[in-house]
Amino acid sequence: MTIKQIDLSTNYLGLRLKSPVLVSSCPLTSELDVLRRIESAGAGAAVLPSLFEEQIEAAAGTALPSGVFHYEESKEGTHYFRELKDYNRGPQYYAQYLRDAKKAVSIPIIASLNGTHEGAWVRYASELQEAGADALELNLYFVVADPTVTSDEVEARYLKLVTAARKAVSIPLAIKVGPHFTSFANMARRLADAGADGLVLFNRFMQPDIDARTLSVAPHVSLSAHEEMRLPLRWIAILRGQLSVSLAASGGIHEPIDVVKALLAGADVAMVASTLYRHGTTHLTTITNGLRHWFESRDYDSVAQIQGLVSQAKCQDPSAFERANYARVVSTYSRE
Amino acid sequence: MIPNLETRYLGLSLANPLVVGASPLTARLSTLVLFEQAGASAAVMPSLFQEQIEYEEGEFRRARRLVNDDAGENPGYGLDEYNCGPNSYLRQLETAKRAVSIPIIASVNARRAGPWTRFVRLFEESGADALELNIYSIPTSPTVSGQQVEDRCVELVAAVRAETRLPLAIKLLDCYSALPHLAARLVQAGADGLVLFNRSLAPDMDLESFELKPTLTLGVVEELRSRLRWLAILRSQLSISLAGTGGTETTEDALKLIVAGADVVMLASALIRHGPLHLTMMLEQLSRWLAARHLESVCAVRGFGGRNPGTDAETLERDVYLKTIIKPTELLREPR
Repeated sequence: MTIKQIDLSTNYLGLRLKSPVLVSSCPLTSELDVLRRIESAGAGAAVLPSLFEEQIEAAAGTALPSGVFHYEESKEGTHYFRELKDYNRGPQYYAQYLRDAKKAVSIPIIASLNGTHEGAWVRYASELQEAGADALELNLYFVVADPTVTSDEVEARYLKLVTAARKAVSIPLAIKVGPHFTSFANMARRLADAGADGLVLFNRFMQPDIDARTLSVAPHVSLSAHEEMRLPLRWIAILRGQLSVSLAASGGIHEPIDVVKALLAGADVAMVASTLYRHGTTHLTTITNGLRHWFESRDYDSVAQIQGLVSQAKCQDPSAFERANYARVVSTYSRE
Repeated sequence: MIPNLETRYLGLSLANPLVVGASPLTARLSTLVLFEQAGASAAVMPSLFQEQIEYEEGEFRRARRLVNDDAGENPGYGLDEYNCGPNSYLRQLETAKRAVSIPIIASVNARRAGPWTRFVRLFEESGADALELNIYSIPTSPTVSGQQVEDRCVELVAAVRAETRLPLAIKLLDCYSALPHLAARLVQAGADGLVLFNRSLAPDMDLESFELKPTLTLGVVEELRSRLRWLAILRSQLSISLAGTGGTETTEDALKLIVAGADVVMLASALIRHGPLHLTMMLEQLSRWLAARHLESVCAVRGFGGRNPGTDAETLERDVYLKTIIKPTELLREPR
């Protein structure tokens, strides 16, 4: 049997990657040793864990929006604040780690910032650029609970942060957001117009749980569930025909077949993390091999051949992504 | 001491906070009787779709020209057999009212106001105790702003409100840029309660046919947390009824929703999985849980997990998020 050459390369944020499978921003990529392993397992690139606005502002000694560290007062809070300061080794070492990472591996390294307000952390983005980041991923996370704040205002705040980051760096800029926008297609276009070179769909909100013993709010971490993938799949399929920016699927991608689905929907890359926690970094090799196998068995030669084949623009039944799908699901289920 | 489980929802006095949510479960009379016997305090009928009403009224063509935000509509969506159409729905409602003594909440699934809203007065005439308006629309046009989509929601609620005096609950998707602001507007437009959240049923992809396949996945526990967050936030802002639904599998899950601020918990997936006895068991466990803590009533814990009035919710959310991100470096170790 002759082994066919499968071209798994893809273009993401203007970077030429040898594989569409990326390791997303998570604590795994904070170790050089792990970076080397995922590189040899075939990862196309790696996103470093996020550096938080709160860490940068604290290190810079800049004034924080009032109350940001109200936990600091409590005993528990002091501990938490110290932990936060040292998370990812803190801002002063993040840039150094980035330099080391660039030396350790040859795959592109994407730095990640997570923030909610404009400030020193946006300027810090340029330090990451100087340290050699191949691209910057800006993870925007905040929950607006104020009932007087309109969706227009919430969305404007996101766009302002993107504009500021765009000004701060000339390297490619990816924006990672959650799905909770009233008109996501509209928001996606505005994020692109504000300077995003790519969108990462979606971040996972790490929503708090309630501790039933103490009846108090409790932080909760969970690995992604497979069903989560449907949401990025839907939106990538819808956006592919509307936007020319890069699209990354993130959340619930666990197996080779999930990467295939993401590409068919129109994604340029698929990001994994939870599945590596479950099965180890060697699972990345399984995913890459499985991906090759799928291409071989279907007689496809390259990622480019299948990208967007099931996107809304190419789909025979575009309504399948919208309200009609809901009606069909509900009525079919009822008849069964 | 037997704890008092009585609760009020949409002005209705209910024996307990466990309600059977809109699902195939409430479509069959025999099943409905079983759930009443099992202890359900109310039941929401499966949704009648706006399109079914429009189709019946011969307005579908006109509606299709007027409404173009969901492109590529398919007349009737193959809904002709589902719920046997609007008139059968009303007959079913009347029969249900005669068969059981628990309140029956009619449900209509819609996306825009229109002449069809005249139909909702018939729910009242057929004996519904309340109406649930399920707003389901996936706006995919990049030119329609979030503000415009929300204006349509408000218009829809006002239009339905104008047609009926029935207590009106609005069931929403978890997809709004500024939910507290929208919630306040919906209340102003006449909503008596909010049901958080409907599940967005994104399609899966069939890799043999390269087609999208409508697939229903039952609720997963992970969905619970976004409900907890928003119930807690909205409970502190609004005095209307709140229902929690989605991802509620166990008594502990139901308790969490109540602690967050829900007046009632709507169950569907868990009851589809485990049957009516599951509901009886949950009620017993709920009583035992309250009794063990010497709590006289379920009202005593409602909203207990809400916001500390001294803290602004956004800060709290962000703090919990950061804690969640930082802590798991312990939990999330690559398996050896």
